[in-house]
Amino acid sequence: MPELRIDMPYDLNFIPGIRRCISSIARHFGFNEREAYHIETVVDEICNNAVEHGRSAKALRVLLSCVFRKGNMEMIVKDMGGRKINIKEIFQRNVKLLKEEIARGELINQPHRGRGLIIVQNLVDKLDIRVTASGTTVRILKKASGQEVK
Amino acid sequence: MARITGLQVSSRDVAGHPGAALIELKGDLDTPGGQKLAQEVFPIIEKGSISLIFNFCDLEYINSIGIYNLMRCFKKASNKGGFLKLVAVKDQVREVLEVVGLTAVIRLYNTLDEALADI
Repeated sequence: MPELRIDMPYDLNFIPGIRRCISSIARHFGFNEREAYHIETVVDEICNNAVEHGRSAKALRVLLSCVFRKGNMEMIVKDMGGRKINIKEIFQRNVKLLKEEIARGELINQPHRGRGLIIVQNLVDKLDIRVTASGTTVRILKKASGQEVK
Repeated sequence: MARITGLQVSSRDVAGHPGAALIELKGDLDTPGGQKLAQEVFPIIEKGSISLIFNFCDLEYINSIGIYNLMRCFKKASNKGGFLKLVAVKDQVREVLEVVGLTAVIRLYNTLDEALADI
Protein backbone atom coordinates (compact mmCIF):
# COMPACT_ATOMS: atom_id res chain seq x y z
CA MET A 1 0.00 0.00 0.00
CA PRO A 2 1.54 3.34 -1.02
CA GLU A 3 1.36 4.96 2.39
CA LEU A 4 3.40 7.85 3.68
CA ARG A 5 3.64 8.12 7.45
CA ILE A 6 4.95 11.12 9.29
CA ASP A 7 5.49 11.17 13.01
CA MET A 8 5.96 14.80 13.94
CA PRO A 9 6.49 16.75 17.14
CA TYR A 10 4.10 19.40 18.40
CA ASP A 11 6.04 22.11 16.61
CA LEU A 12 4.56 24.44 13.99
CA ASN A 13 7.97 24.87 12.34
CA PHE A 14 7.72 21.42 10.79
CA ILE A 15 4.46 22.09 8.99
CA PRO A 16 5.59 24.19 6.00
CA GLY A 17 8.01 21.48 4.90
CA ILE A 18 5.51 18.69 5.46
CA ARG A 19 2.74 20.38 3.52
CA ARG A 20 5.04 21.12 0.56
CA CYS A 21 6.35 17.56 0.60
CA ILE A 22 2.89 15.98 0.48
CA SER A 23 1.71 18.44 -2.16
CA SER A 24 4.73 17.62 -4.29
CA ILE A 25 4.10 13.88 -3.95
CA ALA A 26 0.45 14.33 -4.92
CA ARG A 27 1.50 15.66 -8.33
CA HIS A 28 2.89 12.20 -9.10
CA PHE A 29 -0.44 10.55 -8.34
CA GLY A 30 -2.68 12.30 -10.84
CA PHE A 31 -3.39 15.57 -9.06
CA ASN A 32 -3.02 18.73 -11.15
CA GLU A 33 -1.40 21.95 -9.90
CA ARG A 34 -4.60 23.39 -8.48
CA GLU A 35 -5.44 20.16 -6.67
CA ALA A 36 -1.90 19.81 -5.34
CA TYR A 37 -2.25 23.31 -3.92
CA HIS A 38 -5.53 22.28 -2.30
CA ILE A 39 -3.70 19.37 -0.71
CA GLU A 40 -0.98 21.67 0.59
CA THR A 41 -3.65 23.83 2.21
CA VAL A 42 -5.50 20.86 3.67
CA VAL A 43 -2.35 19.38 5.20
CA ASP A 44 -1.42 22.78 6.64
CA GLU A 45 -4.79 23.51 8.23
CA ILE A 46 -5.26 20.06 9.76
CA CYS A 47 -1.71 19.83 11.09
CA ASN A 48 -1.92 23.35 12.52
CA ASN A 49 -5.05 22.34 14.43
CA ALA A 50 -3.40 19.18 15.72
CA VAL A 51 -0.30 21.01 16.92
CA GLU A 52 -2.20 23.91 18.42
CA HIS A 53 -5.16 22.15 19.98
CA GLY A 54 -3.97 18.59 20.39
CA ARG A 55 -1.14 19.26 22.74
CA SER A 56 -1.20 17.92 26.27
CA ALA A 57 1.21 16.60 28.87
CA LYS A 58 0.66 13.06 27.62
CA ALA A 59 0.60 13.85 23.91
CA LEU A 60 4.05 13.49 22.47
CA ARG A 61 3.56 13.34 18.73
CA VAL A 62 1.16 14.03 15.89
CA LEU A 63 0.70 11.09 13.55
CA LEU A 64 -0.01 11.69 9.89
CA SER A 65 -0.76 9.00 7.34
CA CYS A 66 -1.30 9.59 3.62
CA VAL A 67 -2.35 6.80 1.31
CA PHE A 68 -1.91 7.66 -2.35
CA ARG A 69 -3.48 5.86 -5.23
CA LYS A 70 -3.72 7.16 -8.77
CA GLY A 71 -6.05 10.15 -8.56
CA ASN A 72 -6.94 9.55 -4.95
CA MET A 73 -5.52 10.55 -1.58
CA GLU A 74 -6.69 9.66 1.88
CA MET A 75 -5.05 11.40 4.82
CA ILE A 76 -5.48 10.80 8.51
CA VAL A 77 -4.05 13.09 11.18
CA LYS A 78 -4.20 11.99 14.81
CA ASP A 79 -3.30 13.81 17.93
CA MET A 80 -3.36 12.30 21.37
CA GLY A 81 -4.24 15.45 23.23
CA GLY A 82 -7.44 14.26 24.81
CA ARG A 83 -10.73 16.06 24.55
CA LYS A 84 -9.90 19.42 26.07
CA ILE A 85 -10.90 21.18 22.87
CA ASN A 86 -13.59 19.61 20.72
CA ILE A 87 -12.68 20.89 17.28
CA LYS A 88 -15.64 19.12 15.72
CA GLU A 89 -18.08 21.20 17.75
CA ILE A 90 -16.06 24.36 17.15
CA PHE A 91 -15.98 23.64 13.42
CA GLN A 92 -19.75 23.13 13.24
CA ARG A 93 -20.34 26.32 15.18
CA ASN A 94 -17.94 28.29 12.99
CA VAL A 95 -19.61 27.11 9.78
CA LYS A 96 -22.88 28.56 11.06
CA LEU A 97 -21.17 31.72 12.33
CA LEU A 98 -19.43 32.40 9.02
CA LYS A 99 -22.67 32.08 7.07
CA GLU A 100 -24.35 34.52 9.44
CA GLU A 101 -21.47 36.99 9.26
CA ILE A 102 -21.47 36.92 5.47
CA ALA A 103 -25.24 37.36 5.37
CA ARG A 104 -25.10 40.35 7.74
CA GLY A 105 -22.07 41.88 6.04
CA GLU A 106 -20.14 41.72 9.31
CA LEU A 107 -17.18 39.66 8.23
CA ILE A 108 -14.63 42.23 9.28
CA ASN A 109 -16.28 43.53 12.44
CA GLN A 110 -14.90 40.83 14.66
CA PRO A 111 -11.94 39.09 13.04
CA HIS A 112 -11.70 35.70 14.62
CA ARG A 113 -10.06 32.42 13.99
CA GLY A 114 -11.61 29.05 13.34
CA ARG A 115 -11.81 29.08 9.57
CA GLY A 116 -9.25 26.39 8.88
CA LEU A 117 -11.60 23.42 8.74
CA ILE A 118 -14.12 25.43 6.75
CA ILE A 119 -11.41 25.86 4.12
CA VAL A 120 -10.58 22.15 4.31
CA GLN A 121 -14.22 21.14 3.89
CA ASN A 122 -14.42 23.16 0.68
CA LEU A 123 -11.28 21.65 -0.81
CA VAL A 124 -11.82 17.93 -0.18
CA ASP A 125 -14.38 15.33 -1.15
CA LYS A 126 -14.88 13.97 2.36
CA LEU A 127 -14.03 15.27 5.81
CA ASP A 128 -14.50 13.29 9.00
CA ILE A 129 -13.62 14.45 12.50
CA ARG A 130 -13.67 12.12 15.50
CA VAL A 131 -13.06 13.41 18.99
CA THR A 132 -12.52 10.87 21.74
CA ALA A 133 -11.12 10.91 25.23
CA SER A 134 -7.68 10.07 23.88
CA GLY A 135 -7.59 12.68 21.16
CA THR A 136 -8.79 13.84 17.77
CA THR A 137 -8.60 12.10 14.41
CA VAL A 138 -9.25 14.01 11.21
CA ARG A 139 -9.67 12.04 8.02
CA ILE A 140 -9.99 13.47 4.53
CA LEU A 141 -10.44 12.04 1.09
CA LYS A 142 -9.48 13.96 -2.01
CA LYS A 143 -10.00 12.81 -5.57
CA ALA A 144 -8.26 14.16 -8.61
CA SER A 145 -10.39 15.51 -11.41
CA GLY A 146 -8.15 14.00 -14.07
CA GLN A 147 -8.00 17.34 -15.84
CA GLU A 148 -4.87 19.30 -16.52
CA VAL A 149 -5.07 22.96 -15.52
CA LYS A 150 -3.82 25.30 -18.25
CA MET B 1 11.44 30.00 -9.63
CA ALA B 2 12.05 28.46 -6.22
CA ARG B 3 9.50 29.29 -3.57
CA ILE B 4 10.56 31.67 -0.84
CA THR B 5 10.66 30.22 2.65
CA GLY B 6 8.51 32.16 5.07
CA LEU B 7 7.07 35.61 4.48
CA GLN B 8 8.88 38.75 3.41
CA VAL B 9 7.16 42.07 4.07
CA SER B 10 8.26 45.41 2.70
CA SER B 11 6.43 48.70 2.58
CA ARG B 12 6.67 52.17 1.20
CA ASP B 13 4.55 55.28 1.13
CA VAL B 14 2.53 55.84 -2.03
CA ALA B 15 3.67 59.06 -3.69
CA GLY B 16 0.87 61.54 -4.10
CA HIS B 17 -1.43 59.77 -1.68
CA PRO B 18 -0.88 60.87 1.94
CA GLY B 19 -1.79 58.17 4.41
CA ALA B 20 -1.48 55.40 1.84
CA ALA B 21 1.06 52.61 2.04
CA LEU B 22 1.98 49.92 -0.47
CA ILE B 23 2.83 46.67 1.26
CA GLU B 24 4.58 43.97 -0.75
CA LEU B 25 4.26 40.40 0.45
CA LYS B 26 6.48 37.61 -0.83
CA GLY B 27 6.29 33.95 0.05
CA ASP B 28 3.77 32.30 2.34
CA LEU B 29 1.17 34.06 4.47
CA ASP B 30 0.82 31.03 6.72
CA THR B 31 0.88 30.60 10.51
CA PRO B 32 4.28 32.18 11.22
CA GLY B 33 3.78 34.54 8.29
CA GLY B 34 0.47 35.74 9.67
CA GLN B 35 2.03 36.66 12.97
CA LYS B 36 4.82 38.46 11.15
CA LEU B 37 2.29 40.36 9.03
CA ALA B 38 0.58 41.80 12.10
CA GLN B 39 3.92 42.69 13.70
CA GLU B 40 5.05 44.54 10.57
CA VAL B 41 1.80 46.20 9.50
CA PHE B 42 0.28 47.34 12.82
CA PRO B 43 3.05 49.91 13.39
CA ILE B 44 2.50 51.23 9.86
CA ILE B 45 -1.16 51.80 10.66
CA GLU B 46 -0.37 53.33 14.01
CA LYS B 47 1.97 55.81 12.35
CA GLY B 48 -0.91 57.04 10.23
CA SER B 49 -0.88 55.00 7.03
CA ILE B 50 -4.42 53.71 7.03
CA SER B 51 -5.01 53.23 3.32
CA LEU B 52 -3.30 49.94 2.71
CA ILE B 53 -2.61 48.40 -0.67
CA PHE B 54 -1.23 44.88 -0.45
CA ASN B 55 0.64 43.66 -3.51
CA PHE B 56 0.10 39.90 -3.63
CA CYS B 57 1.90 39.26 -6.94
CA ASP B 58 4.66 37.30 -5.18
CA LEU B 59 2.45 35.73 -2.52
CA GLU B 60 2.33 32.02 -3.20
CA TYR B 61 0.28 30.71 -0.31
CA ILE B 62 -2.25 31.74 2.33
CA ASN B 63 -3.86 29.86 5.22
CA SER B 64 -6.55 30.64 7.78
CA ILE B 65 -4.08 32.23 10.21
CA GLY B 66 -2.77 34.44 7.43
CA ILE B 67 -6.33 35.42 6.58
CA TYR B 68 -7.11 36.12 10.24
CA ASN B 69 -4.14 38.48 10.53
CA LEU B 70 -5.00 40.14 7.22
CA MET B 71 -8.47 40.78 8.60
CA ARG B 72 -6.97 42.20 11.78
CA CYS B 73 -5.04 44.66 9.60
CA PHE B 74 -8.23 45.52 7.73
CA LYS B 75 -10.16 46.08 10.96
CA LYS B 76 -7.41 48.24 12.45
CA ALA B 77 -7.16 50.38 9.33
CA SER B 78 -10.91 50.69 8.83
CA ASN B 79 -11.42 51.68 12.47
CA LYS B 80 -9.26 54.71 11.70
CA GLY B 81 -11.20 55.47 8.53
CA GLY B 82 -8.90 53.64 6.15
CA PHE B 83 -9.21 50.69 3.82
CA LEU B 84 -7.38 47.67 2.53
CA LYS B 85 -7.05 46.60 -1.09
CA LEU B 86 -5.37 43.56 -2.64
CA VAL B 87 -3.50 43.61 -5.93
CA ALA B 88 -2.48 40.78 -8.28
CA VAL B 89 -3.87 37.93 -6.21
CA LYS B 90 -2.90 34.54 -7.64
CA ASP B 91 -5.77 32.22 -8.53
CA GLN B 92 -5.03 29.66 -5.85
CA VAL B 93 -4.89 32.34 -3.15
CA ARG B 94 -8.07 33.95 -4.43
CA GLU B 95 -9.87 30.64 -4.22
CA VAL B 96 -9.12 30.36 -0.49
CA LEU B 97 -10.17 33.98 0.10
CA GLU B 98 -13.46 33.25 -1.66
CA VAL B 99 -14.14 30.23 0.55
CA VAL B 100 -14.12 32.39 3.68
CA GLY B 101 -16.08 35.21 2.04
CA LEU B 102 -13.28 37.74 2.08
CA THR B 103 -13.54 38.65 -1.61
CA ALA B 104 -16.96 40.12 -0.86
CA VAL B 105 -15.55 42.68 1.58
CA ILE B 106 -12.04 43.43 0.34
CA ARG B 107 -11.55 44.91 -3.13
CA LEU B 108 -9.24 42.99 -5.42
CA TYR B 109 -7.44 44.60 -8.36
CA ASN B 110 -5.44 43.10 -11.19
CA THR B 111 -2.78 45.79 -11.21
CA LEU B 112 -1.35 48.38 -8.88
CA ASP B 113 -2.34 51.17 -11.30
CA GLU B 114 -5.97 50.11 -11.06
CA ALA B 115 -5.83 50.08 -7.27
CA LEU B 116 -4.20 53.52 -7.12
CA ALA B 117 -6.70 54.96 -9.59
CA ASP B 118 -9.44 53.94 -7.21
CA ILE B 119 -8.12 55.73 -4.13
